[in-house]
Amino acid sequence: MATSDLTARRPLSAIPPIGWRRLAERLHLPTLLVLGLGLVIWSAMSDRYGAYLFPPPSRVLNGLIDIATGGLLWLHVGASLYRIGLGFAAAVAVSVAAGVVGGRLPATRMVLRDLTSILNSTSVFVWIVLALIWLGLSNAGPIFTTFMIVLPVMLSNVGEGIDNLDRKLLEMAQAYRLSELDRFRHVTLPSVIPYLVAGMKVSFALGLRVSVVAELFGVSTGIGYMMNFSRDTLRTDLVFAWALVLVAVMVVVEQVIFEPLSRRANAWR
Amino acid sequence: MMAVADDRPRYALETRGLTKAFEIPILDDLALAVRPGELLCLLGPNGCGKTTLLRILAGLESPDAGTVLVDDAAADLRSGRPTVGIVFQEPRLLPWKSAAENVALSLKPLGLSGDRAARRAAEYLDLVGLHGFGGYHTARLSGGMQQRAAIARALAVEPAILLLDEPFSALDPETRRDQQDAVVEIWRATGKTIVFITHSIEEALAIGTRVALLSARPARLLRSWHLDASTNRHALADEIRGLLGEQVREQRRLDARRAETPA
Repeated sequence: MATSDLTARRPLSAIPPIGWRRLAERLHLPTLLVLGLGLVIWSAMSDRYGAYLFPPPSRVLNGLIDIATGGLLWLHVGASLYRIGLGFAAAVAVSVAAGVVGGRLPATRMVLRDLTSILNSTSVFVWIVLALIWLGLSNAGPIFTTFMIVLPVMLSNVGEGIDNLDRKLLEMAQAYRLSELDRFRHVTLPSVIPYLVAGMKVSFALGLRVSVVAELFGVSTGIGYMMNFSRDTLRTDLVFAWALVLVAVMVVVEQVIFEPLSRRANAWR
Repeated sequence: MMAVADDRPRYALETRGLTKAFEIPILDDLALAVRPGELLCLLGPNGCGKTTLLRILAGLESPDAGTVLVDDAAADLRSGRPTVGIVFQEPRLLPWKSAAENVALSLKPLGLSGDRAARRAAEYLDLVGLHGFGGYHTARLSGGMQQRAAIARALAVEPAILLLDEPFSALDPETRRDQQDAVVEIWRATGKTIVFITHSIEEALAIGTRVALLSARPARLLRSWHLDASTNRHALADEIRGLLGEQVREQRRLDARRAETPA
């Protein structure tokens, strides 16, 4: 078999020149190999257990094409991103505000830290159920859930940023008579922004994973809703297709928004 | 130029009865006078109150009592433009800004911005020997160059006095000598009154026009020596080493006693 050839030990002279190895790494060839193997196993399972449990890869691909060409893709991805975006933005805004207060009143920092641990140890499901009770079957449910999940991650990152502020730089700025606004703009903000961006990166991914769960209840759009709807209508192939859409959205947002943002925030390092 | 000298104030910097306590007295009735154009090196045991003096002069701290006079007039150190341009032990440059931006930022409180600030920044970076390095992010500069950029920042606000707080203690001996030469050159070029805090007798004798010795806490001015070409620096170094040694031992006794009796 070809795979055993690859894994077999070869004499040093037979190792291809560095260029090949680098190219293989660039293209993630080993990962692709494993994925290919997974695809083969999946096809076998599909043959063995049937399309309801394991829809064949070709059906999933067709489903994906249907979703993409039928206009459903943008409608539901847009709906999910809209809710996540709102909850996420609100959580970021609240943590920045909390950071400003915490930076000025050290006493509030303990409160923020403790609240953060409490929020961090609260299950997503608590917020989903509470959202159903408080907000009913509406858009507000997933938004609220995203907000509550993103908030502690952002709070703890902003807090860490403030804890790691270089007091000596602030003292220098004071000795040079920089106004409070300028101290904030030129010293505090640039120090905290890398922590903020790192937090945004992690918490957005978290928010995306969580808010699709919240979309199981009360709304009739969104990736989470469509996955559940596909399951209801026995279209397991579409469940897989939407799952792939979810992964793609995550990767695209990461690469298009957060990677460049994080590069910019850390450019001076 | 003699006529100009006559118009000069008696002292560029003078402290009268400067007193400050944090639970224990740190400065007690400190009287220090620096003549215009002097390069005064301040020596004293660690913990004697040099840092507190610096913080008061930089406007970061208010004295409990006493006054600071700049050019013979009582100075308000807490507001207005900085009277003292300060260089800390560490460069304290903002790492997300270039050297020139760091200098320019300190000019903002003086109402200088944009081109005017950039020109002034470039001028002082040139003066400290960083011509062409203004655009460099500070992390790309060596330790010695960073400290020079910090000196440029201090000079750029055109303060009455330049105050350096053990600025080269973190540098290797070779770089340190270069930096000392640079300070002397800057002093010659600008005629600035400079107060240079150091714990190295050799450094003080190498660059100062006067060396002053502070006592153990609370800091008093014990003695000072004018230096010129005829000064026998070896003999003076020995003398100062003896006196400083006494004060260091006294300071250790104070610190040990304080450690035994918690406040």
